[in-house]
Amino acid sequence: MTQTSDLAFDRIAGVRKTPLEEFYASGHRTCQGCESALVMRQFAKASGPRTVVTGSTGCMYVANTSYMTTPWVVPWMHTQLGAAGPSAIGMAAGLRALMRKGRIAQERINVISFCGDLGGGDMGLSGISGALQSPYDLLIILYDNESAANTDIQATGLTTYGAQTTFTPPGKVHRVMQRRWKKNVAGMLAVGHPTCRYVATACSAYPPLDFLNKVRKALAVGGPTFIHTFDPCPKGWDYHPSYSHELGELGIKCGIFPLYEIVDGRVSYTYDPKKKGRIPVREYLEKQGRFAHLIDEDVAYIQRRVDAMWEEWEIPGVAPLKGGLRPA
Amino acid sequence: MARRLLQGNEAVLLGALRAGATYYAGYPISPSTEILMRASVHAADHPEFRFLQAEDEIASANAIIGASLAGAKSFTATSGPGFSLMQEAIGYAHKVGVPCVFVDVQRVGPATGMPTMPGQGDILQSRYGSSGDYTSLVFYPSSVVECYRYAVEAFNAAEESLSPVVLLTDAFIAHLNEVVDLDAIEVEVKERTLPALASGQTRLFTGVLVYADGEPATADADEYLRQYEEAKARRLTIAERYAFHEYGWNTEAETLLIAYGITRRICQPLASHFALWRPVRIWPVLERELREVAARHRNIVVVEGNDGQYAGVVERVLRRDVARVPLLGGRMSLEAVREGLARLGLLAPEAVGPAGAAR
Repeated sequence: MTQTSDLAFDRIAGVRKTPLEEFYASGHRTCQGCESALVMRQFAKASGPRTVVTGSTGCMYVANTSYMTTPWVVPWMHTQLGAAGPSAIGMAAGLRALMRKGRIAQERINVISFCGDLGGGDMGLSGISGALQSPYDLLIILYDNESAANTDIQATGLTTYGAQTTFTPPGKVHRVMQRRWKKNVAGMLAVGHPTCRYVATACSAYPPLDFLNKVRKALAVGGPTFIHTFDPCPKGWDYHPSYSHELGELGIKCGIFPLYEIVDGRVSYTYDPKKKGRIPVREYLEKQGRFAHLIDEDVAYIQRRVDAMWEEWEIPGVAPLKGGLRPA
Repeated sequence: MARRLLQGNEAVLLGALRAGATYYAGYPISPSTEILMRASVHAADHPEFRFLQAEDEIASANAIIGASLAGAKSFTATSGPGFSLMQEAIGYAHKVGVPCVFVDVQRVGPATGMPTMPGQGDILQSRYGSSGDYTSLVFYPSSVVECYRYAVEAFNAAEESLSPVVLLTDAFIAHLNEVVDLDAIEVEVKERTLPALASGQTRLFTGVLVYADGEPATADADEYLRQYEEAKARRLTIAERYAFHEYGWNTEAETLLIAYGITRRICQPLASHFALWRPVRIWPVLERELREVAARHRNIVVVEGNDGQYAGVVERVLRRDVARVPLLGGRMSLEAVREGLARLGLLAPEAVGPAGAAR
């Protein structure tokens, strides 16, 4: 593992050095304890005033722009579900064309596109893949609260195994209806796009400032970049809103959501369980109502899968290939 | 099952199950989501019923086509933007001849539009949404009971015509709760006749034009016409068996209202003033029935939740101008209908007022 902290970028060195200006201000209609709103606030803060934002349909669209009110201080555009990647390409290309024609000043304008786990990890995956092959400077942020949260908590391809959602209710015959293992979106995009220079996973709750600095680093590296955030959601995960940060931290520490960044193909772990250890996934699962129906056997299964990810994968948390090359 | 309070979306699902559906694939979109949700609940208790929450509407539409070819009666439900995404798959199902059902719970579009408000803007999309020429069968119920009944009929029509059938509803019909007794509704279920994909024969399905032996016929106009005419004739013949419509109210009145789906319900308090003709089978248009009814009335007004989509069709069939009362932006109310009729001079202005019986 190579450390990539030597990359030059405007690092926020401490909580007190965090910019005070808000570009995602108060006045939104997200739920109490919403970590995805914090993702919006933090990336806007890290990116600063010379930023344009586009976002595909999802709770961060609906809750942030209802009734012609908005917390966005920077320009923002809604795009269709699944179009986070293409709309970012369009925006970046439009800005480049205007600059080339001299219609607007030559300057760095950050293009940031966000999408939810349904809009990005399921429907919009091909569009993000296209964007990561584009020649433009753009950052795509997938805010992952593991459900379609604005349409009443439906399961997505990124919902944790076993979770109860409105589409995966425990039944009399089948206890576990969410039987799909969470898609490894960041790893898939990093492995599949060798020219993409920066892919990371993050959590706005833990460690502090990590997500802000990853946004700064992605923008500094340039080209198309991608960050996948892990966002506890009180409504969808069924817990008291005051525990959002704690759940984010538990999710990272139990290793169910690996925290890393990949710069120019080099992986470095933000939270490295091999050095810092992992807590049992039970501590993370048992605090959420959406797992209340699971029995010991289910929890043990999830633990085994997480153990396998950290102990057997060639690149833990990133690429699920095992054991290197076999002789032909 | 005794009398119970049932929602329109739920009735669609129960109708599909009554018709023998064993596969559902879908993607959440208001106001159709309850169908997906109820399907998932059903799947949790009934392992024989398979349920897929796909990554988008393109996947859902193609999944039900695959399931149908494999032998399962299958269906999906969506709303405007999702229905747009499904159009290519619907064209494929028409070309290949796949029996399956697409439920489109209409909202106000285009794009995200007004997701929780009712619209009827997909009338033409349900007919002409995919590319090329094909013959669509489309039904549009007006009540919870009808959601159940015509869901069954949609499956029957799909099985008989070997084509995808669209069941239109709207946000109001879908979220309407009415007391129904499903046991009291007699429905006949048409069984699957199409041999399943794994039935032992080697079979080839493709969206491209091919001869019976599988050789491409991509430059053979005669072969195209032969297949096209055959499919069209079959679907029109089958459609004759499903010529559902309603004619009534004050049939002595000078003015005939044409309304369907939720707008028919909205116009109900005007029953003493007007005659009503309601097509349940929206496509193919019930041309003969429409002409017979229209000949009895001096004025014809089409009341619909779009800017004249069906009115244009009626004008083409009747070859005469018809008046229009478009209910746009989700403003589907008796007041809006009264205002529209008063503007046309067909209802005294003093009759325009708060909801209730027409004065």
